[in-house]
Amino acid sequence: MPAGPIADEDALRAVASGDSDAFGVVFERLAAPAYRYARRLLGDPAGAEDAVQESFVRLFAAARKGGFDPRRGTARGLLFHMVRNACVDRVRERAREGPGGEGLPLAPSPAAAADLREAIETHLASIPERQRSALLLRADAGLSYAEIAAALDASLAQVKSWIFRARRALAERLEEPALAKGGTRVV
Amino acid sequence: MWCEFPPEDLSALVDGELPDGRAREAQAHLGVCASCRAEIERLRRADDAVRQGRVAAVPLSFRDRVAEAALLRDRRLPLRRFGVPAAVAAAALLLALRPELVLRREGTLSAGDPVARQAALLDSLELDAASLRLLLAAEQADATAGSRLAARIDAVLGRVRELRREGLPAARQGG
Repeated sequence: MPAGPIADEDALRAVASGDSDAFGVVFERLAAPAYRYARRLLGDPAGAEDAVQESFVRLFAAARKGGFDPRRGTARGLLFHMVRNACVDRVRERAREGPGGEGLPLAPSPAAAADLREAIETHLASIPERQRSALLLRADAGLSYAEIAAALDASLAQVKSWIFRARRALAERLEEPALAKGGTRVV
Repeated sequence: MWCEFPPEDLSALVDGELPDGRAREAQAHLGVCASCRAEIERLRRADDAVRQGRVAAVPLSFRDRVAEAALLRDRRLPLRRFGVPAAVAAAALLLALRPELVLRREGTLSAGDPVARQAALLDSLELDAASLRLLLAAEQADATAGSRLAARIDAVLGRVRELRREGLPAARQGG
């Protein structure tokens, strides 16, 4: 019987046993959703790349030392926890840069949103960070509520509430006339 | 039209995260409540929008960047992957494996302080033993020879640990 795909958690255990190649399995599965998440949280591609790179290296180092304990959550939950922390650190660094710094996640202004896709990103960026993170991790990255709770240091009840509120907020924006027609929303 | 059914539960139903009993209740409610059917469709459209948004693709060079950064921290790469004599690879790996020991040894082997020098010699022994372990793994020695060599490595490391516990002779003499 052919072996099924190796689970992320088994791959990380293999890394701890010296099989560094197993990490490639985890990377291939999670790099794209992790990058999209970071990109949407931070707004800038370079910062997102740095945050995700840092998170993968940390995950790899933890796995190699046998520091990954599947009883405390999944590999996805741990990785996205690292990605979010890395993004939050970068946002705080921007804020410390002073008045000229960019303390808030970057997003195109509504006036600059040229099409529906950009408008969606703009409205996503206007949703409070934890609600937005919960929705992105669910709707785009496909994490379970338990994984999202681990990633955001939250309870299941909070995750459930955040996802609902983010969905409703985004849905309301989508129903606004300009956006519903695919045009630029003018605030 | 106003409905008392919690909309958070509709959202959780979309995600398949409601407990079975509650999910059945929600499904039954949806069968009779047009308002909640409309609400759940709105919530689903929000998810569609998330997936439809301007989603960035991972840059092509990204994997290489991450791999490079990760490999720099990887102390357990298979030696043969390098395609160089195992001893050289082992030495290179050791530099990465225990940089603090190597730096300490380089700084103290030539030092006049006898305590520092003895500590550096202990570090050297430990490094040599670790190097032998790497070579053993790389060459996949036959089981009999391998177990004998592994036992000797363990004996050397045991002696190092013993000396560390007892304290260094020069340190004892010097008070």
